[in-house]
Amino acid sequence: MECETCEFIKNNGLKLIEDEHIVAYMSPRPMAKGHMIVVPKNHYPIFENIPDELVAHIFSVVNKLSTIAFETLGCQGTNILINNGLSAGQIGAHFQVNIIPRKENDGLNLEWQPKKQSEDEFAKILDNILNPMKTSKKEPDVMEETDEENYLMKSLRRIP
Amino acid sequence: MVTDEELKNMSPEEVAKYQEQNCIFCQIISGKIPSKKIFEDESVLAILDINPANPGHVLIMPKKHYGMMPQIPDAELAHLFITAKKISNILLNSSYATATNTFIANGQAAGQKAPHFMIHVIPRLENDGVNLVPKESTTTPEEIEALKNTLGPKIKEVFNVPDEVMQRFGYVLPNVDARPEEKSAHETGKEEPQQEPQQEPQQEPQQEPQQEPSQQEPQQQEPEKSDENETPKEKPRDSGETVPPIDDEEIDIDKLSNLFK
Repeated sequence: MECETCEFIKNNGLKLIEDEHIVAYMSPRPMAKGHMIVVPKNHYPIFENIPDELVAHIFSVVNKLSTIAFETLGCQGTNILINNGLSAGQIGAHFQVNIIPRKENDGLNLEWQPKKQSEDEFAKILDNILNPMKTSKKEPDVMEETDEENYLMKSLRRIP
Repeated sequence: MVTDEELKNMSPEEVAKYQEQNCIFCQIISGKIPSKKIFEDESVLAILDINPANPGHVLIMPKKHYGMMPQIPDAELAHLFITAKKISNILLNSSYATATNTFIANGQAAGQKAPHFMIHVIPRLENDGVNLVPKESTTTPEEIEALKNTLGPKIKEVFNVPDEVMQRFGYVLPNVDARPEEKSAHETGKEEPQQEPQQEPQQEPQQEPQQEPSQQEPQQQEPEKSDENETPKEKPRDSGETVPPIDDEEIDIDKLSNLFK
């Protein structure tokens, strides 16, 4: 199955920088002026698939590009955003890092409404996260959805 | 409290010390303020956000006080993001997430609340009401092109990109003769890179070596590809080498779950 991103990075006029592992390009559908995207050249669907050395390299490039945005675009901030998986807003099954230059009152809304939680709820969450096996026994139906292979298959079948 | 005037007269070391003393997250790291720890090692702390976007929202921060990402050395940044990847995986294996957002706000304009750098890893479920994908802006292809060229000189400098590669990537830099009619032909090509690549070079044959962006030449790009890859990789590869090998043992998930038993 063809990946739109794999095809796109082979051949486009928006490329900013390229080396043997990564490509950075201007987003063709920018959330803000100067929106950049960094992707691994290899087809990795999600964050968890990427080897540590490549994570290190990707974010070294992301940090440099974010700093360059501060220096050249006159932005007052940057957001770094990874949408990892369908329910997180990922479009296309190819991991990407977004660098979004920001200015005061630019009208972009990347905030969330904090959820109120009691100390008991926090304690339960902490326990569930640190002891995932226990959680799976308690809530088998929910765990089924987070099954990684199932999830990946879903990502790979996704039509952009 | 220190006045702005006093702050101006402080040495950078004094400012750093003062920032640390007044930083809530530095106090969480030192244990003065209690927190809900998910993971900790000598340089990184991961805790539950007490104002979560969703249950299981984790904050990952360097123990050293850095205000923003540009201040963080590559090796530390690598360790922070490798930790983020592992936390994301832990969340995906919990009942709180079928997906995750990794989010950073650099600067107040980007929504940064506290001046201590941190990475948010937000667990996501279908239709959970969290929206981190804003509407697309109204930036035109011409503006995108112009923004790319604004970034160009600094990208050339920072990544040490040779002139011919800059031209192959279609940058129109200030020192290159950028004639307006040529620029617009260039832009039209960009929107639909797959279409009729021969057009532009025919219009301006004498400009070919300088202005022809290789991405409009699908057939020609293949043979060029190897040396296109050669040239810019020097710098990033260097930076890759400066990253010390990170001990995977440190963030072993099994160990992690034992930590708090």
